[in-house]
Amino acid sequence: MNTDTMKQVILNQLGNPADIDRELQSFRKSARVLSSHHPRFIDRYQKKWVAVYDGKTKAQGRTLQSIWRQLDKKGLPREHVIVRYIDRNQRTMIL
Amino acid sequence: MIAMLRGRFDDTSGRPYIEGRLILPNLNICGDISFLVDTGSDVTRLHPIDGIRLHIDYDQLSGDAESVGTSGVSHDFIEPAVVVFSEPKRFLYVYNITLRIAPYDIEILDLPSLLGRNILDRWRMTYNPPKKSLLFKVVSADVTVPL
Repeated sequence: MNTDTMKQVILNQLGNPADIDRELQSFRKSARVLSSHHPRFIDRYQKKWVAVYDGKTKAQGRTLQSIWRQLDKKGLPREHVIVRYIDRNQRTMIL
Repeated sequence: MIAMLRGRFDDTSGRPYIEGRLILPNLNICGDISFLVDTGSDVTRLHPIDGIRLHIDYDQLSGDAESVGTSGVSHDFIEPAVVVFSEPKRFLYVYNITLRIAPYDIEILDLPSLLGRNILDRWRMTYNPPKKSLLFKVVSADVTVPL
């Protein structure tokens, strides 16, 4: 496959670029909310899973299964939701 | 004007992240990922927390790529992927990669997916935690899409 063909194949897979830009900005907003509000999240959601969509907390629970159930019930698109486990004693990460 | 992407530092852990769109054409899967920026990782790797969120059927995956980390040897699945980063209202930067997908393991559910050097090498990073500034100058991309 030559370069131009490869580029065209990739572009066809992308979808609407403006939609991607808008959705990524919203996802970034959710990630920042989860990060910048973390001290409050720790108190409120200690040892729970939390899901944030479009900058707002949309689900919380003790198990991931409960998070998926809540998101699906609300009809929220999992692919644009950020999910994190909240724990005061975060594990040290060595990758 | 310089092509620039913006990452972030997690307030609590201080870990560096950047958000991007992941597309797995063969699996008809698409979704957004908050990648941990990992210059120690040779490749970009999807971890189970994102894999299950995106409805990946692990039984359908193929490939067996060995990788080694501090916790030992892992056998990853391999999948062609497209990763997209946006410079808001200016450009999309698109990368055609071979993605490693870590096998499902409940012990690493809190581990974020990794953005490795197969993409990071195509950027120049400014890493300044005290100023909460994480910037990436884009040197190259497989496709650049104007917005």
